[in-house]
Amino acid sequence: MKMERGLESKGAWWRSRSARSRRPERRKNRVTASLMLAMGVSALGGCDLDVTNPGPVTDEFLNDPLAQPALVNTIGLAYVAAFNRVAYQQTVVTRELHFAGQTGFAGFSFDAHLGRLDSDNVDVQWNNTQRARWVADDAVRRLREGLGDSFSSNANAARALLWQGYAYRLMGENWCHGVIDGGEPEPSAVFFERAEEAFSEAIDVGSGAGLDDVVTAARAGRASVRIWLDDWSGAVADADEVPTSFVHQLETSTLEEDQYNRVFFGSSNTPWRAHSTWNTFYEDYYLETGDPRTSWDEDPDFPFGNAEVTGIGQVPWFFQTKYPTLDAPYPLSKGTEMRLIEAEARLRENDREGAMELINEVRTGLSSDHDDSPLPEWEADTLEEAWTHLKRERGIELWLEGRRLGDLRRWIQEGTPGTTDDMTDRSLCYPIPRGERQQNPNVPLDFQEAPTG
Amino acid sequence: MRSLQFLSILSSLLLFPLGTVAQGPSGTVAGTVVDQSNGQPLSGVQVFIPDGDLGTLTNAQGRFILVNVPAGEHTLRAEILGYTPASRTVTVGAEETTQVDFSLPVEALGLDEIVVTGTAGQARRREVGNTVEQLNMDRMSEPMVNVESALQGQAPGVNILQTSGTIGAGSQIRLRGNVSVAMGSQPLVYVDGVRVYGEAYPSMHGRDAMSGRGAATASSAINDINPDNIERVEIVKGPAATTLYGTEASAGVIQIFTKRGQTGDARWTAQTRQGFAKVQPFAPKGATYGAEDRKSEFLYIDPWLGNGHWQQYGLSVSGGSGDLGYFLSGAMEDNQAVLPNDKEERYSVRGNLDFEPLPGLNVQWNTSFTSDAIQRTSMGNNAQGLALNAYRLDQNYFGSGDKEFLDQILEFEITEDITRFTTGLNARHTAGNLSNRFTLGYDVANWEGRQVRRFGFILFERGAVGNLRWTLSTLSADYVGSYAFDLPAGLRSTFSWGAQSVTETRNEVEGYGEDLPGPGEPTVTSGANRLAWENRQRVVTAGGFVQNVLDIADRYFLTLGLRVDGNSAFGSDFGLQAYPKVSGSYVLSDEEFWPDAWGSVRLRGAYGHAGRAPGAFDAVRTWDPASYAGSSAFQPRNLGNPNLGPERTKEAEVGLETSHWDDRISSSFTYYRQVTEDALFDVQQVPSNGNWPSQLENVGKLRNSGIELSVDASILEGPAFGWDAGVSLSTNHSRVLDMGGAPPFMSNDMRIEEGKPLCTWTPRRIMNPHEQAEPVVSTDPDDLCHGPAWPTHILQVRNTFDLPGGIGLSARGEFQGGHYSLIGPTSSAVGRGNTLWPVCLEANRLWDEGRDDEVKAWDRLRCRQSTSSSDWNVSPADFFKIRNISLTAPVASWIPGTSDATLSLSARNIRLYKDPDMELFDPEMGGSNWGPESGSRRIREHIPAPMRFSAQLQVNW
Repeated sequence: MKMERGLESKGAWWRSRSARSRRPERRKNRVTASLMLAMGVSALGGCDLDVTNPGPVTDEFLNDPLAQPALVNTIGLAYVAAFNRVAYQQTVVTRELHFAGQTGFAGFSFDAHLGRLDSDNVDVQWNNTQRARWVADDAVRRLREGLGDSFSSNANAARALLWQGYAYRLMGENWCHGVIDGGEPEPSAVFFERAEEAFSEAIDVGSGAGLDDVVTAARAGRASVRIWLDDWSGAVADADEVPTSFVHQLETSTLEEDQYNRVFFGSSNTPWRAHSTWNTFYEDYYLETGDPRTSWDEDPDFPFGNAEVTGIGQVPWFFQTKYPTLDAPYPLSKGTEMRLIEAEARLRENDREGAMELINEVRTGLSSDHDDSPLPEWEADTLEEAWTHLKRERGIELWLEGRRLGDLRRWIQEGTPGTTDDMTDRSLCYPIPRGERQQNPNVPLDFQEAPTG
Repeated sequence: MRSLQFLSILSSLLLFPLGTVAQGPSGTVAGTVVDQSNGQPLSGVQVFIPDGDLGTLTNAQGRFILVNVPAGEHTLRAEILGYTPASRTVTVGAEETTQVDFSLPVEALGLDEIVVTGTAGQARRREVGNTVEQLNMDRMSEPMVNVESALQGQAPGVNILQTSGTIGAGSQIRLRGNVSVAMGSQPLVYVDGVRVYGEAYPSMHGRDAMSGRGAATASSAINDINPDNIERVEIVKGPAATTLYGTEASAGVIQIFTKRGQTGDARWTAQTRQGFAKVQPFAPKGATYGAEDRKSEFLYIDPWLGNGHWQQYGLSVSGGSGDLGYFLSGAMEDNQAVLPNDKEERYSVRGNLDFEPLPGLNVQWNTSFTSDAIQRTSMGNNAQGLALNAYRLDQNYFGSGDKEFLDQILEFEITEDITRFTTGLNARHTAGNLSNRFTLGYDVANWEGRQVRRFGFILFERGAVGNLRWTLSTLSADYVGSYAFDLPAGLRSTFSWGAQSVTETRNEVEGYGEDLPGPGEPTVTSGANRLAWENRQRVVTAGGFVQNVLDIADRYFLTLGLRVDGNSAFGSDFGLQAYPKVSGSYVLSDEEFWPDAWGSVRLRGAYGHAGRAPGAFDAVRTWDPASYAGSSAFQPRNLGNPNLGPERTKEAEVGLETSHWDDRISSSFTYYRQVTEDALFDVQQVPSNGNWPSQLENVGKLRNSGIELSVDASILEGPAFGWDAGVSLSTNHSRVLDMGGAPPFMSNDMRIEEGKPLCTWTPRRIMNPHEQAEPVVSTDPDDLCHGPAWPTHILQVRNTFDLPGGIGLSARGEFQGGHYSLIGPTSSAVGRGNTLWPVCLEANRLWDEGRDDEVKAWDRLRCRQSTSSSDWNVSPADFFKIRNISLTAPVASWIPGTSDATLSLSARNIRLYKDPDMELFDPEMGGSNWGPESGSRRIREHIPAPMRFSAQLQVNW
């Protein structure tokens, strides 16, 4: 079967011309064809594949001296994202707050609400904290290389070192084992050693730069990590340099979710109502004492959390008011914490009375929210009672400040006297998450850790 | 105001001077064109005098009339896609009317049809070694809602899934499945040779929370094209066909050809479409809630579902005079969907001009403009969304399921404004055996999304305003030259060369303000706290190609080609990319020994490469500017990879086409196998190395394979009754062949794991879901892939009946199966204590009655708050849908003064059959059509696409 050759040009179906003079047309054809060929070549030749797009900042720019203040803030930005996640999640693990129904918020598993942290559900906390640590190291390295000899008296360098200390403290207080830059799991002591080193250098550089606030914060920070390194004399020496009224805070912001005060965000009607002081020590304690450090409130329009809980039903929504706004700052170091470090050091020397004096020094300056009367002093007839008061007072003083998990682990693992919150079957630290185990060949998938109380 | 602007533009186009001028003595030629097989009239046939600048189209009765034909002898030719062209010699007398009738035989294989897409300029189908789907939209009987729905279920290997029932919701389009994990698999789109943006518009979300605030729906840019302007669509599905498009074409190419004018008097077409939409139940019956008796079969959202009225009006004119042809069109739509805030107003105009400024130089200038204003309801996995709060009853964010509370969500104002302008100049010059074609195109899509939650809005009392302005322009230049010459021994060679460049510029600026001062009409400026973002990107792709087609005796064809490309997103250490192709075609039935009685047979095969480029910044190590507590800072953005290059997909396809019994039965079969090498995977970095985001690396290897089979038959042919039927089967099996040592990871809810398909995966799986026993939960890696995330089998069936009186009835349906979907809302609702969740009603009743032993293992985990998890909510997503049933009837006799008129009644998506385990929603919904996320098949808090009923009246004169 033969098929005739089909149409050569569909687009010109009504205009196939045949009766035209050939010679002028040939010349025109050559001109037209040449013109089109030139257009075709220009279509390709006019292209520049070396495109520069604005917006993202190239890595080299971070070494520019003009970028140094922003480089320091880079650590703050990473740190607040990390601290938010860790501080918020541990409120339910350590019974500072009780979940109120919104089980899925912020990636909390149901188990996390019951106090159990497993490696499948803590990637965000690990990843953010590792970023803060790594970014701090990177910034200090860039500043050290860029500033040369002037590093030792540079204000940006002092602030970066202070952040670096807090970043390592965050890892050390919350993870039983840590990993640095894709290495093998190491005990948390390695983080405290690095934190101490960074705080020490921050004190030196801050002194050189004349930054008293940085120096005091670094001393407070160093005191808080030395207690983990069993250097109580060093901790007390640092604490002694910090006035009781001193507070070094972590700024938060209303404009980026990672920078919100997440404890406020998750427990307020935003619309999560995810956590409540119901069924915690602090519910009754505040009703009894009106201690302003553990304040909470309720709203008759929203009496319950936003969902029912199996086995409990609707959970009363008693929302914390320690952080009243989305941009309320978190304390990172306080003089009152230093007094309690000094008190704990005395208890370790069996000085009950000296310890109680320091503990009550923290309380007596405060008035009850109920009737404005001074808070009652704790009394202890035995060393064990004094330990119990210390543990409770640290819980109250550092409530919702992301420090409780570390304290409970430290005391339980050391077997210190006294009682505190029941951590039976509850995690005492974060495990290395699944993501790190999968991506890092130096961490076995079945690496065992994460003790419970 | 929008209406006035539109009318102004439309009137200026339509008042273009038209008409023809007769010179010398002339006569008239009139006649009819019918289908040779059944005598039915053929409309839209081009009838013309090739050497006389005269032509027209037949009307619905197959009639044509050519006036002012110069007296004398002429050749009259009739052509239409799908039929063998015919010519007649006719002698026209002055002032006389000459009758000429044509009876055109069906050409099932269309061997001499011209195809353009994937070829070097153009080619006859017989020369092309790969499949080219050609859909003649001009002859589609059913009313078309938009381009995506018009293409849905129409061709094997073409899969279009509508993501939700929200107005304007776009679809996920796949041609032969997923070729990329990281870069999306939406095909490229061309309109009349001009590259246009064809993917999703942005989906805006409020900046005040981690979840999206808004409609959680993206419009699709391909739907900016008025489907009534389309003459035909060509689809090439894989690298074997798209090699000449180079670096960005591995997912295939869809090319749309719009209507053109023809010499002759102006031919006017006016039409209107009226219709309504309705949601079918999408969950088990058995419970009601609240004073309104909200029903579980609608997941308790039924009080907010309406029957959206939609209407469309269109007017077009086409014709030509001398060296000029024109097609001008305007249309307006006013649509309401089923959700309470959903509305759309769309206006579009198009002008297509053809002219011949020099002998042999044909120029086409095509311009279109679309304006689309959309309002939407807040939906999705969104604490301020209607569906989420309605589905969860009193366990929602109000703590109340009362309708009066939830109605306040409707005060969340979500709008989109789209303006789209596309213009293209196409010049084609032919001089003897040399032809040159140059196309310059410019396409700009402007999208503005705005969200307003006024001061006092129940779920965000401080109030917030967001505004995102997004512009994407595509500048394309395309040159193709071709020279044909004869060789000894009956050989003919056509050598082609070309150069193309595409520059895509994407600019977006977003402003967000919250803490509004009080009531009033706010802007972003009204916010006490304001944020702004800007993103600007330009990506350039440029390359050239050479190709040679060797033609032996017009029945053996061998094509060899090579394309070389560069792209601005390639890494600094990465060079140009070369993509080869080879294809062959053999028209076996043209052999001397082949008896006519055996019909027509063509064998074909093709092999080619194409690519998929990484994103603009993917190769470079960068940080994002950021702020911390009001001061400037940086945060890690991209680790960088100087060796980053495109993915390369290699495809081989072989197949044949046959037609028998006077073309009454035709078939097409293709086997294809695609392997994507250097596949771009988002490789997760070791978190303790700074927790940098995943970095694209060319480490993977994927395979896609399957068949495409189509059989069409003209079962009954007669003057009074005809029945055509067709069936298409396509399969697609994906597999991850190599991951370059990377561990398995999730991407867009799909598990990427060596030796497995792109999986719907959960970290735990119930192995005895239907047993009345304690659940057996497996964490064995071999059990965790439930199955492919995308359909492995698609079956399309179609029937067309020609009834007495010119009435036509058509019906088509589509089955998709073999895949699994994640159903997100179950764990979210049960996890918050919703005890009326429809799939758990039975389990809750049994527990209440103390018949715990009778509860299914599946329900024991998914229906308890303490154990509720998304791990338990994966279901087979097999479904069959009746896509369309249409009835068309000629009604010219009812409307005086018209040359033809047609009334069409249509019902779309009216019946759904699905797997019994898929108890909720519509398996077709889910996921996103937005770029990188477009692979996901997770169903979120949306409603399914509704049924649509419509009536269309089209009048020509």
